[in-house]
Amino acid sequence: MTSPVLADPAPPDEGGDVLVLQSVCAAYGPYRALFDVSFTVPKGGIVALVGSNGAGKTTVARTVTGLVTASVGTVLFCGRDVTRLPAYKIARLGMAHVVEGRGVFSSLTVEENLTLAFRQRAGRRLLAGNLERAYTAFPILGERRRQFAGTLSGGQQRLLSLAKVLVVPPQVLVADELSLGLAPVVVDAVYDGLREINRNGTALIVVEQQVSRVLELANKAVVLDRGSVAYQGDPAGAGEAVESLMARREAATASAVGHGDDIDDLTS
Amino acid sequence: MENFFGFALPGVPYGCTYAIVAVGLVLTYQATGVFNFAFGGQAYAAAFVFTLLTQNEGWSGFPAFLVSVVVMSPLIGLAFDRFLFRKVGNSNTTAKLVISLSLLVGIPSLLPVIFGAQNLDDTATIFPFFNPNVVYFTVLQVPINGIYLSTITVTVVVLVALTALLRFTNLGLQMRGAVESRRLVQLDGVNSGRVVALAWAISSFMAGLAGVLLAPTFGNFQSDTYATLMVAAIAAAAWGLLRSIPIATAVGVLIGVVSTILKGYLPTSSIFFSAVLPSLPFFVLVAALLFLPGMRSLDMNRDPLATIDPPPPPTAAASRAPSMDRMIRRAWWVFFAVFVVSMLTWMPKTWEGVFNSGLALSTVLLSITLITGMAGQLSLFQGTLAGVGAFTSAQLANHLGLNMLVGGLIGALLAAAVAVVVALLSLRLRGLGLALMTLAAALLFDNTFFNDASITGGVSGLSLKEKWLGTSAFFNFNGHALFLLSLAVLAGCVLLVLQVRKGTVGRNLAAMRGSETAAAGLGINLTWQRIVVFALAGGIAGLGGVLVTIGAQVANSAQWSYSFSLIFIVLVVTTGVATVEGAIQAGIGFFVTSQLLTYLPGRFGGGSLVIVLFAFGAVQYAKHPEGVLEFQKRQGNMRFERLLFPKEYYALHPTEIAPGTNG
Repeated sequence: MTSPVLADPAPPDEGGDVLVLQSVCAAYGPYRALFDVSFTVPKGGIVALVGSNGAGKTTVARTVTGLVTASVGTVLFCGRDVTRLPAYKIARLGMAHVVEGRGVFSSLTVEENLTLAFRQRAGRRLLAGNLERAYTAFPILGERRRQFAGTLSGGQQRLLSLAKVLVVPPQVLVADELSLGLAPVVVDAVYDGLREINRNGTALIVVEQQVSRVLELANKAVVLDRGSVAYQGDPAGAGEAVESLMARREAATASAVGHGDDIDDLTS
Repeated sequence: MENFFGFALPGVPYGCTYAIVAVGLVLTYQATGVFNFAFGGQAYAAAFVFTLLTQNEGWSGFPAFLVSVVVMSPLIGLAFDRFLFRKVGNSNTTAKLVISLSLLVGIPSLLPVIFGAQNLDDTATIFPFFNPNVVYFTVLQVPINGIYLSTITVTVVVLVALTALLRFTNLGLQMRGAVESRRLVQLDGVNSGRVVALAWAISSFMAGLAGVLLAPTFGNFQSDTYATLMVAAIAAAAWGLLRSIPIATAVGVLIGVVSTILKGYLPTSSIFFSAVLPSLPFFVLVAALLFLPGMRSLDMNRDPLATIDPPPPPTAAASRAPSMDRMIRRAWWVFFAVFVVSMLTWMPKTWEGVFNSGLALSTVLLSITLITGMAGQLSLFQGTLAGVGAFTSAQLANHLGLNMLVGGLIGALLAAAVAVVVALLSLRLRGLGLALMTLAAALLFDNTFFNDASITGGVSGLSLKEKWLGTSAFFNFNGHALFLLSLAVLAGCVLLVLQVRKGTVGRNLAAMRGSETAAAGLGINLTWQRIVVFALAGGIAGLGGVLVTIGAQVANSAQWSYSFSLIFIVLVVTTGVATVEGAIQAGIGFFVTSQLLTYLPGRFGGGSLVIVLFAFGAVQYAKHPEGVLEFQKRQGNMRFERLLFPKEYYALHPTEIAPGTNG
């Protein structure tokens, strides 16, 4: 399948990394969320981004797709510096982001939601075909195509935001807390969908709280703790890293009950 | 029947103009998420420039139309977007409303400052399309002239074009997406900044179009006329739930037609003709707010990515270091003592009057601190409530011989009662809905009670008599009685507000501001809190109104018209709506600035420039939602703290420690 993305799909240097984060720091106003985060996403790879609440997973995802601009450091996408680019330009280069929680336009109909995405990503000519494919893959969306997206159930809204990116596969897909609020059966389907577009060449960054599940899927893991990378490498070792972090955190909490860490809780 | 059409058809051009403005409001709201009160101001600006060019510069209609509507109006819209609304978070309803209100207040005041006072006669306006004085044909014996043809043609063309834009084009889809979340559309590869800018350009073009179309249909050239137009248009837009262009159009045309029909059939001497008829659009608006459930959920925050915006900073007073705090408090007490002693000893009479007016106005403005700053709701009729207090006390003195100081308390109670009634009517409204309801209440009072000469004494107002106050002290500035009274009332109100803020009600209000759902979940009775706040704010506004009246020695309805309620909001927001000192600084600052401006040459000396200054201060709300003064205060505090108390400063601002250290 040829890449339907509008932007020039020129491949990065052979076998290189499709996405590189170099010493990235990020903040929300005066509140810093990321400290010196560096990791790479290999071409066609699947990176699992795990960590506890407030570890900075969502902020990493947002920094990668340009929703949050890094205050320090660089983000390279296909070898190109995209650190200061606005989100829409990064999206046009072939980045897709399924945001945490509800990520649809509730005052647009299901079909309008899909149209908006497909026309930008694949152009007007392929629109009808893409809509058809979306409805085939997710029949429930076809049934409700004239309904306002805001009236869909939470799970259906997740499916809608997935349909926007799965039908027209991007170069890199950032998926934030995909399984949240979905029935186990649907989660299986979603993970199958992710595997499938990965086979077609899309690199994935999967943010997940269900650690075991995502580590099965991934071929690389990054563990975040309080805005910094605590571990990166083989997914097999990540579970252990997470557990030791949790143990340390528990010990710290036990020794200083009531002493909250203010940076931790602001970014989730 | 011919008679009926004879009455109905002349209403069509009015109705069409209402419809165009209503559709413009719908478009702006749908495409930018801003309920653009400034639309009336923009229409006025375009009509002003158009008339100026055609009459005073001798241009012919078409080039003047090109300059004022096709070029100038969209540029104004682009400037609004670029310099103001782009900086406001999508979810910040209050900020968006306040900015558009300050533009509505500021633009008409700015024009005479830019162009100098112009003598414009809009009845002589050259119309850009069809000649208004030529009768093209007759329908049912009603002559159809150029005005009819122009407005109807333009309305139809605009409606079709806009409906098509929003419903069937990619750009329209992107606009509607961008309203909900500018960030989410970016993830789909849409340049949301450009889309929103375009939406502003288009809607401003419509504002200009409406203004120029309207210029010849209204009797004389006043910005107030445009405000009436706005209410009819807002009512029409509300019936379309700020979403449906066809409904907004239909209601707009209906309002125009029904009012001319009623004008034709109602006896001109009846109360209906003089009071109810001009209020028709307000009733239509209030009905929409009361009966349409959709109006209640208008500006629910729908942006799923709103959490990217950082939380608002704490107030300057709350965030400064303890040593700094002590120092500033002492400095304020010294300043206050010097002020009181000066007022009682050497202050020239002019300036004593200025400060007295400032103190009185501060009391009115304090009511806004309570409602907007603490309860987070925008009330646009605080000036009206002050007027209720003022007229009640004056009339009680006039008819019953009651001392105005006692009557003032009764007036304040009545103002509180009026506020409670409005609060009860708008229990389920928030944000924009509540703002519209209070605006409708203000306009209703302007058209009914405040318009009744037996209540307000007509154009010249009710002049106060010495015996109304029981003593001549208040008429004699050397006696300082008025100063001490104003100071005492203000101090009492300040203590009340501070007490409310510290107490349970204040904490409940803070909870409501954060999240109404969560507050309700904690068992806070939102309805009751709201009624309490409205009653208190109404009472304080009423007291302030009495003080202002005693200071001015006249109770005049022009002083309490809705536009002053809007100006009051703008004043408070400029200095800082979250703090008590913000209201006081706004009240005193307004009169001090006006007084200082009288020393400037004529064109700048009028009342308008001070409004312009504050309006542009309020526009800064985009950048500093806590108020310009409040922002400056925090900056100043931080600078001094770093110098004087570095230890405490760095303890308070841990984020300023060199980057790279891990929490």
